[in-house]
Amino acid sequence: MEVGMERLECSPDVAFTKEVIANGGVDLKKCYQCATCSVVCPLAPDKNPFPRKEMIWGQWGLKERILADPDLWLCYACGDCSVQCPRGAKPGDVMGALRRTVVSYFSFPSFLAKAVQTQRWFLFLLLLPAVLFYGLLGLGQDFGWAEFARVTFEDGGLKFDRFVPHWLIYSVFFPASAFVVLAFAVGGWRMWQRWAGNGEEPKQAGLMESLKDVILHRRFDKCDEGRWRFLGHLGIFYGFVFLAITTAATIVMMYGFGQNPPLSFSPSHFVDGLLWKIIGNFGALILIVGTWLAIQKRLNAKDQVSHFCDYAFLGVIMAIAVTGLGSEILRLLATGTRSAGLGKAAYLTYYFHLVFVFYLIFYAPYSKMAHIVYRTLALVFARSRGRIA
Amino acid sequence: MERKVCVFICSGCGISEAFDVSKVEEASKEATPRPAVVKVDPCLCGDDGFLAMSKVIEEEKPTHVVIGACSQRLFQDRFSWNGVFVERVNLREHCAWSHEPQDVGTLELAQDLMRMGIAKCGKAEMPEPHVEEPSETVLVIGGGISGMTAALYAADAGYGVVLVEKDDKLGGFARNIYKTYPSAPPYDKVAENPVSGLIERCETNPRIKVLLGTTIDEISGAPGKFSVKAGGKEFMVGAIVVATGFRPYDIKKLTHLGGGVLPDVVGSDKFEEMLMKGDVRRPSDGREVKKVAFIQCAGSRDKEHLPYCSGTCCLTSLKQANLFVNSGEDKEAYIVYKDIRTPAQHERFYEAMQNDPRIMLAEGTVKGVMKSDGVVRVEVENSPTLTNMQIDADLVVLALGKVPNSDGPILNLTYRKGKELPTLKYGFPDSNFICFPYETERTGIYTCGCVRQPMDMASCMEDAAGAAMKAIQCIYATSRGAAVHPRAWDMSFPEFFLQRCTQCKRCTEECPFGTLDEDAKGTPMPNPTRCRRCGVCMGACPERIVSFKDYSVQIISDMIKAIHVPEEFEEKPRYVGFICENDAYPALDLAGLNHLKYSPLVRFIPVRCLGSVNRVWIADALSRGIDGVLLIGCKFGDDYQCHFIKGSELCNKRMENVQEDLNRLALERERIKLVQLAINDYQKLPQIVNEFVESVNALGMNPYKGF
Repeated sequence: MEVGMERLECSPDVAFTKEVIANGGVDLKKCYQCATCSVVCPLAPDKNPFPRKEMIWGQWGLKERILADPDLWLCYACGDCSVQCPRGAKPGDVMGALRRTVVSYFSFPSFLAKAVQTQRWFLFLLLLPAVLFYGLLGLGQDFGWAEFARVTFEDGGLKFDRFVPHWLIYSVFFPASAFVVLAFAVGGWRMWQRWAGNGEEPKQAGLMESLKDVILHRRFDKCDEGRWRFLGHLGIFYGFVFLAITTAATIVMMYGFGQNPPLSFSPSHFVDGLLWKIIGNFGALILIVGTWLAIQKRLNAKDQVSHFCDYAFLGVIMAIAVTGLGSEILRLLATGTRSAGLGKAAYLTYYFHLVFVFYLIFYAPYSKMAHIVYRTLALVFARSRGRIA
Repeated sequence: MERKVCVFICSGCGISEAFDVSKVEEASKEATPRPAVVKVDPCLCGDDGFLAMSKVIEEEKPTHVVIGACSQRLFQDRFSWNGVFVERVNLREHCAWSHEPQDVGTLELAQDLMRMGIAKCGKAEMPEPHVEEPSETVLVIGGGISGMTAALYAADAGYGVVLVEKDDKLGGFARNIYKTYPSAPPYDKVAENPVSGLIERCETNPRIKVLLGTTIDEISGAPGKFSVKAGGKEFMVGAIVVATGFRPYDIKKLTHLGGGVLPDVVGSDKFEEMLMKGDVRRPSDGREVKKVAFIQCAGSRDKEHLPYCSGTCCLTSLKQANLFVNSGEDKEAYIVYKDIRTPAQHERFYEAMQNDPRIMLAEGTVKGVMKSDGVVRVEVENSPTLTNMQIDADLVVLALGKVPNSDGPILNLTYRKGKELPTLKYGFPDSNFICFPYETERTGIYTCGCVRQPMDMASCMEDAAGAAMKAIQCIYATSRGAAVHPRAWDMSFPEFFLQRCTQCKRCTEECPFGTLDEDAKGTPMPNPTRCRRCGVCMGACPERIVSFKDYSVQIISDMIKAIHVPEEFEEKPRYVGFICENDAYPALDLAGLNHLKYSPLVRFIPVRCLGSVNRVWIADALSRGIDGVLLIGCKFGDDYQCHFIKGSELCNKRMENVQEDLNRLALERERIKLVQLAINDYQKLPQIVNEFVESVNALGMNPYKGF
């Protein structure tokens, strides 16, 4: 039996329908099942294409089928279907709402997912790392708020590790990352188990091709509507990739070659400094441009419903990029001028940068960021079952 | 009175370019009784031409005028003079525009057409109307939405109404309807039932006499003077509106859906009653219903049950679902359908209902309905997206289709052809569905509402207005002696030369409208106001005793005889075509208008209906050397387009008998051909005509030429 068409006993569940509507699928009920969406979708497989079936499952609140549906993640939300829908049911946005709903069902712990997806909890969740870092930075006299008060310029100018020592970053982000990995593992495992629930055997391995999809944006590129959205995502994706490269290089420099960051901007230190600076700053720039494009696309789209999560996600990324680049510039300015005021500004910007980075990483399994894992998993699953080539 | 014929020929609109008009004028002069008045004008329809023609008519005082110009369908009002018989010869569309200009065949055709038109004036006379003083009361049978609306419209137009209802209350089926779906903008909310307002208006209208608890015992007579016996009374009415409505399809026949088997499977009518009471409970155990599953097309669009769509069940279920989910907490409604059919503005209602999360809709086929642990389980299959879904509901509602209440006794007519209205294939009494709504196969008796076609309340009310207007039109036309429909202008009526009648009963049997009754011996007893003037009786009569003043066996025979048939050695075949005036004639006009070219060898004679074609015309034509006869009429069969229901079909049957004539004359069967043609098939005409001409040409000349 085909994926998605398995014989399932399930009963209509109006509560689930209402949940999907609340999660951004506001026009879900308008669908009258003409299948225009599935026909125009450049990504839907020939057999049992999406998103028509997801639309009716959503309307009937067939939770079990939605939860067992890997197709949700094969959609890249290009919006071709929403533009062509004769009833204005906006299947593209409904698919997004379904993904959000599914994430909240599978993720661990699920109450955190509910909180991340709820607008009124946003500030509270952001306040959490803010308070955490605020408290930690007040623990000693040789760093944190003590350093903030005095601003030290010795030994090569302003250095962030005098404000936030590495051990403090590690003590927060190592456990946080471990938790995120665990949450993704649990969520991914649950999701995969449900997808595989119909007993269909894998036909082939799908990992390498799926990673190629991700790296080359191959499937994303098939969408007709929203060329700018594609470029936006490309910018954000590679912005993060370049920043990750720079971060990795810095760690190698620190622990492999005993360097003390920040790395040098001097052309004489090209391989052990300037090169990574260039990559990192370029990454930050394309991240800003990509995020800007994505925000613009959403603001200007008339056929699209944007959920709070969409803007929260893009806003946090933008905040990370801006505070990151801002703290770098302020640090250089402060070093050049030896101005304590600029030093304080650099420290404060860096503080906010860490808060936003924490938000992005710690809440990744529940926010839009979760697609990085679940979509990749779904690609692997769908490919292994022969659902996509 | 002395016959005097004036002939006018128009040479405009390309006629003079197509042939030498003077030669046609010459032929007309030869054919016209002396002293021949034949005038040619470059534009007869123009003011100058028309005034000149009128002046000639004023001076010459002819009894008959033949106008060779454009189609008879044009300028009917203008080319008309008091007391003068006008014969129109179509020299433009049927001749100049559809044949090669300056071809000898075109000229000969024009000459023959003129000769035929002039010959017709030899016997044809202005009809004198048969006038009867009609009763100005309309009888409405059925006091539901349609009947009450028809009564109100007729009363508002100044006519008396007798409204007969078999129940002891007015309202009909609508009385059991709680609320309706909307029929006014913005079309998205449930609306109030209009029935109580209608009841009050009918009961208080001084022109409407309501007879409750009454059925019709007998109706005799004819339009204008129907004599009605009902409820111990006897009264006259001029026309009748039948609005007997419908009943829901019998749920007990739907056992495959649990109908009549499971107590918690009910029809939409029963569910409406529950909603009206405001208390929806399971009939089996009295438990409050939380979840309702609607099965659409229950027995509808189903060959085993009702093959048609009743057009309202989808909207009714959407409405009921809305009323139900709003009747309490935690109520849900599921609707499984083949297609949702919410025509026109009702799409808005569908959209609004669909937007409610508590109302769930899906396409699918219901495989079975069964009892399961305190619920009714509906198994759905073949749904494109919900394959093999099971829906557990407290109550299942079957959306039942509409069965017309047409199976008597309703009218109890004393007609020779039966007591009730004849019906079409699904039991709907109608005469020609597309072209003539309200019209039945009995003149002066009109149907409206759900007895005629499944429809909703708003449509019933519109329909009722139409039927009331038709009834009034019938009374008015009858008072002038004119046909009611479809030859609404026609003052002629069939006359029977009964001395020669052999009581073969063909006319009484074949009249599609039950016009003719019979006396004990089988002699036809005409009822002119029931007649539609199609001439089917004239075509049927082997003794040729039926004739109209302006249309008879003799008149058409004279036209055939007027055709100039060249001698065999001239190798010029000649054909006669009988064309139905309703569709084939305008189709030929359209062919001419589009300048489609076809063989000029066929002389077309318009007939009122192919059903009026008498066998003797074919024998006459063939024995005079005509090479073949082509008959073009309307489509017959289940989806007939014949304006007189059975005319073309009867003609087709009679042509089978023409074989005898052909055998007697030792002629080939292929010389006679009947073709069914729709008005929009005019492009096919050249091919039809040419193929016929070529196939008969291949048989060789008719050996009777020159006799």
